[in-house]
Amino acid sequence: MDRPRRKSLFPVLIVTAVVIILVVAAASYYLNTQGQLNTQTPTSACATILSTGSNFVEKGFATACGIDQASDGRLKITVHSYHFAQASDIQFRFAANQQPVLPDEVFILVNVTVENIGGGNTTVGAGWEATVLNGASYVDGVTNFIVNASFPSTYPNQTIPDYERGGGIYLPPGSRADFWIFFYVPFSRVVSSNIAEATSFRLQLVTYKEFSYGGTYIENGGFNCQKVACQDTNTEFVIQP
Amino acid sequence: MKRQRILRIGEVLLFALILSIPSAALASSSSSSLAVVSINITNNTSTLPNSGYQVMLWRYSEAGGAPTLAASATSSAGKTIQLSDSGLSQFYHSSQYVHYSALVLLILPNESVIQLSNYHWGSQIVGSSGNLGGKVTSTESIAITLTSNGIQLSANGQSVPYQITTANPSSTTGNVTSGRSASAATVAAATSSQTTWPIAVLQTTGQASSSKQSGKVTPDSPNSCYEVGFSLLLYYCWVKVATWQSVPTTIGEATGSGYMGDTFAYGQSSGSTLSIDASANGGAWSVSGSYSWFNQNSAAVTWPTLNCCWNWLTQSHFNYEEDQLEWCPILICGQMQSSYQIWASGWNGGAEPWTPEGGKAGPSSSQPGDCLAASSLPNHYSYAPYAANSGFTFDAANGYKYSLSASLSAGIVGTTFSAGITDTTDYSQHTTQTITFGNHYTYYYLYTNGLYSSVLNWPVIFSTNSAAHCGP
Repeated sequence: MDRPRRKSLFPVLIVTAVVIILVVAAASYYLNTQGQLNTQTPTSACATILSTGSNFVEKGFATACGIDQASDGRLKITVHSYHFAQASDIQFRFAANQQPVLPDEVFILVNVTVENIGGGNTTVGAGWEATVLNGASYVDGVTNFIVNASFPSTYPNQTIPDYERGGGIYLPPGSRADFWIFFYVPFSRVVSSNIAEATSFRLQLVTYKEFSYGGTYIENGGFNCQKVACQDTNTEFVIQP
Repeated sequence: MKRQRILRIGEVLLFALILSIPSAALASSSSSSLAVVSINITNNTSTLPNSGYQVMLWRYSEAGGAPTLAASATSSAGKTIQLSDSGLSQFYHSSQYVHYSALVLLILPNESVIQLSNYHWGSQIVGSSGNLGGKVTSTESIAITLTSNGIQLSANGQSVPYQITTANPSSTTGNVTSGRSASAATVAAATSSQTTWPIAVLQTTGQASSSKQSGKVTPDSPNSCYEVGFSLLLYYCWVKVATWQSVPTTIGEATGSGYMGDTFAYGQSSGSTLSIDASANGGAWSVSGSYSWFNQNSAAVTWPTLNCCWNWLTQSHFNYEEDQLEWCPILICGQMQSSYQIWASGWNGGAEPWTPEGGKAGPSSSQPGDCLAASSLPNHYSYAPYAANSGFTFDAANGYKYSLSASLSAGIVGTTFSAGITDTTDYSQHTTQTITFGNHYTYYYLYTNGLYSSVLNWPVIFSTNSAAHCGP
């Protein structure tokens, strides 16, 4: 009497293996094509500060908020003070091919410190914004003005971003920089009385967009990402002075 | 039998009733009102299409505010189209004239839009009941002719200079008025508003304009992997190999002829479409796609006043990224290919001081340039005179294209060639220019170089003055 033939498991194993490979491949492909999803949500500190009415935070960006100071573990940014000044009282250093501004144009100068506490390389350049209030109304068009200037007998004595240093200032791990940020304050007509009007304005928030962190610094804001990864940080600092 | 006859008579009466409806309606229509406007478009260019014209009739309230769309239609070149105002019967007006405008747009296949006309006039109304309703006494006839050099507009047989009238509010001393509000001015016959510039608009098309290309070793959408054919097991990925932060990039320009000011504001939803450059096997970079960034902020990015001469460029800061292609067969990545792409990975904002075109002070590279004598301006160029101390704000709905808006060199991986980034701006009426005139000259003039003719030739706003002199 013949023993019943045992059914071979080989086809089952093959099918199972193919299914597993397909599932893993699909999952891997999905993750690769999704890029870096940002799932962070504003903290309670941010919720309080952002409830003041600013809608500066860029869609898809995480937030790091604070009063006078904020940190995301990579950078720590401190806003010390600010004041308004007209161009004639600022020693701008325009390049030969740049057009100087009118003497009565008004700017805010914000005294800021940035510390690199995350252990990687970074630069700090453009990416700054400000909300300015005139009473209960926002002043429209306040813009980070990217220019160099001299600050004799004054500290800090540099501005960020500095036109002459393309790509911003390089901050190696553990370093810090103290500087001024210029914000242009537009008026419908440029007249000498603008500065008197501006002194009643109030700086509500200063924000900074951190797009990237890490990598090997080259020059002029350039980083090589082959040996040390360049992180897409996409974090917005929101600081209430 | 009798019943059949009754049914037959009923059928005849019903048929007669059906036949009578259109003629009755026509009679009613013809007795109630004339068409408010009749528009004929002639296309004498070889570059613009003969179809895709959108015609809109707007009615303005005497109390001000936004106008009401009275009628709209699509049209083609060589065709005359008439628009009536069915809502006029419910429109209250104290004046015997009602303010209308006819807006004519040409929508190009690439989704750009040319504004051919925003023509304003006052139509006389009779037959009103109290202050309500009535009908127009005549039909405003507008002829629009497109030529290779610009747009010609005539109305009621009279050639209408396609310009801003000096009678509008922008000529008042010391005031800066909006081109939009000027269109709601009180009735004035045969005038055009500031928005009559023949302006080309690049429509917003979204974020990334490149798309995945299956089975090609060609740089495509950044930050992504794409499969070979329909296989999930074979795909390519882009791996970041270099970044550049805060790179100055040109996103606009403005004009100055001296003793005048021009402020440029890159508003919410304004955008720039920057090239994705590709290089393979150590070769030079070439454009392979594009990536767009739009101003998502609630506020405009604004440049200080441009106060002097010729055309000057506005620059803002962007981040760029270089990727290398990686081959990933059967889930195993790591086989790096000699194909690279560079693209704009973020917009940092900020405004740099005005810089001249070409890197040094001089005339705009666009024709015809600034500071021409007003008498030498061809009629088909849109132009307008402005009195000393006047000014206005207009929506810069046009966009510019720059063949080199930014350059990257240090730190590039895979090739020794530097990469040039092109930029096609997308203002879509969210970018404004506020222009103020001094009193050094009797008159100042603004004019355009006319008509969109190719992606390399966008209308540019130029300025001059009664001395035809550029200088501080």
